Amino acid sequence: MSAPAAGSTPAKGGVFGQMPSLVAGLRQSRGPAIAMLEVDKVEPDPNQPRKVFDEEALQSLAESIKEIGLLQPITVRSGTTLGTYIVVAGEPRWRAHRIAGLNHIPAIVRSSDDCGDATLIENLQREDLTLSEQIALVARLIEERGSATAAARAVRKPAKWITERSRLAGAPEWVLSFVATGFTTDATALYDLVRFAEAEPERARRIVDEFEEGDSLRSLVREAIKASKPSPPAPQTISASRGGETSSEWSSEARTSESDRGEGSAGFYDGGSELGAREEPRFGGGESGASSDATSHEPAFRRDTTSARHESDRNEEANGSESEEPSIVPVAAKSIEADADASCLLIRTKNAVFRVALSKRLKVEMQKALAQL
Amino acid sequence: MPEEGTNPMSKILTCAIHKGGSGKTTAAYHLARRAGERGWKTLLVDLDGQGNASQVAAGVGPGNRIDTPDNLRAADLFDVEEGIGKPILAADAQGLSLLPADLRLLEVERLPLEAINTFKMRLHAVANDFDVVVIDTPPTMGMAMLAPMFASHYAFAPVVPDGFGLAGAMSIAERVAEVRTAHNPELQFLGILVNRFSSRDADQKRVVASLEAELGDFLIPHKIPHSTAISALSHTRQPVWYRARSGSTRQVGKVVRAAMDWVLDAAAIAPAVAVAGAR
Repeated sequence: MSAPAAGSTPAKGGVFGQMPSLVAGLRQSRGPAIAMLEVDKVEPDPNQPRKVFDEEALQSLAESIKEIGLLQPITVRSGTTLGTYIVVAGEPRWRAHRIAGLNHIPAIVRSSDDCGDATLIENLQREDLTLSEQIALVARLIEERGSATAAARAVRKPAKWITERSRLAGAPEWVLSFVATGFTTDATALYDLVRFAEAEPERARRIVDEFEEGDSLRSLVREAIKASKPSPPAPQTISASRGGETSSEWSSEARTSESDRGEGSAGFYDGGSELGAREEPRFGGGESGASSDATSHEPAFRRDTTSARHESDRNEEANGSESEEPSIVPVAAKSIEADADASCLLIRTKNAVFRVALSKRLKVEMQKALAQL
Repeated sequence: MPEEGTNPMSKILTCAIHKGGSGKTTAAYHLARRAGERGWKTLLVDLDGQGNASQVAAGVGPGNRIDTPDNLRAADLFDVEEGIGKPILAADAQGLSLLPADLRLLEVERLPLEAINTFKMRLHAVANDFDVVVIDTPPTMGMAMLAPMFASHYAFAPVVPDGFGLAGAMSIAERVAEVRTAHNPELQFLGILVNRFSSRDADQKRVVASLEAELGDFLIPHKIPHSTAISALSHTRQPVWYRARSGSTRQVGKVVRAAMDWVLDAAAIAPAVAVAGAR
């Protein structure tokens, strides 16, 4: 270290000789500290997604802690009363301590301010969560972060990973109970199943009803999709890609999603650019990974991603009660304009800009119309 | 603004430095007043037997020879049952309450170490009724300086930028680090506040330049100048930003307020109401 020279010779040693130790001391005076906490002062996180703990595993963990101690401290944050703590990560280790009858547990104490949704994020990054637990966590994270995009960013998982689970959170009950059986952990296949169920509820349901342990859900769904001929390309209107929803909901949801994300545009597809719409499983338009044209003929399958949360909230009412027929959705637009190459319509409403991708056929029509102007 | 009643999220801040004359009382008082201006129900705890903070906040305490035996006093917290049930003194400023000092504080140094746990327990019980608690400490490294560190969420240190000041800062940083690993892992050291800075003093200038070069975000980026506006606190008994008669006082007021805002922001005590002078 050096004292800054103010023209004269800097004084080394003396006053300034203390600086390195001051800096070293300060470094340890802030940030997470490891401490021995009283086990009784620590409480489990009421929002902990994991409800089931393997008693045998806890027993053997308790034995090992008794023998060699805890190798990795748990992480806690401040609790609801001063001097108490809530487990951020490591509830099984904490439970094992209680089983072992130990009074103290080593813990990394995070200040409550930097914790935020640290529990959520740490948990989501764990490998041993069941799919049901993951789905619940993702739904909460999106709730807290305001959008799927933000959630994906926070948890450093692929956008597709978040999208699939977020969509599953709003899946019909029969899908969720199927997930809960644990027969499959293939979120992609389940996601495809849910989307398929929107077009072909009976067939989708049958896949689940006839599913036997060991079957590959992915291939069953794929076969079912192949078997059910996609309906001929419907005219690509807004409604075509939105399925049967009512206008008021749609416009208000659009506003929510726009303001939540605090970005310039929200819409049917555009969130996908960030959220990986391109990776999304696709149907209808052909075999997986087919064309890069984001829109072609998929009347029955919605392709939006960021609004999955809003949409899933309504899935139940939309399912069954309303027909699956596309219906026109009135949007109070301030202006509608076409993109330079007419591949998209930009619909500006009071609060948002929607980008509606056009099918190839409509694109041609649009280009013709534009040429005439 | 949290609801009335118990407040589990209350935050306790200690102003401490192992060195006299650094401006602890000034800093603690201004911090408490600023927290009050931000709309938080604030308690100032005066653990310095000289009672300067008590005098500034409510005109009581040993310095003023006005004792407050009917109210809960800071020294009571070191005893299991002393003063329990007594009301907490309202200070002269709205939204500010005070646990005043009295001469018994000079005796707490003789108490056994368990008294620290008692202090922590009792302080936390009192803190539940407040949003922010600010503790002023004596300049000596003893029970009355250690106990608040065992019980606080945050600490900061006003430092006069000279050799003695640096030694005092080092001592406090080491103590904080120790307390964190052994007793209070929640304690976060917010930073060093350069205080009583004479910009015409070449030695002080060198120390400040060195602090700026080495401390990074451990240095609070608002340096409080040496000013008579601040030393007049004992009789003005108002934050320095209230007395804006001359341009230089206004200037000092702004710096002090910015420093207090920095500390509150670092402790995540955001304004609950719209406040003057907020950035």
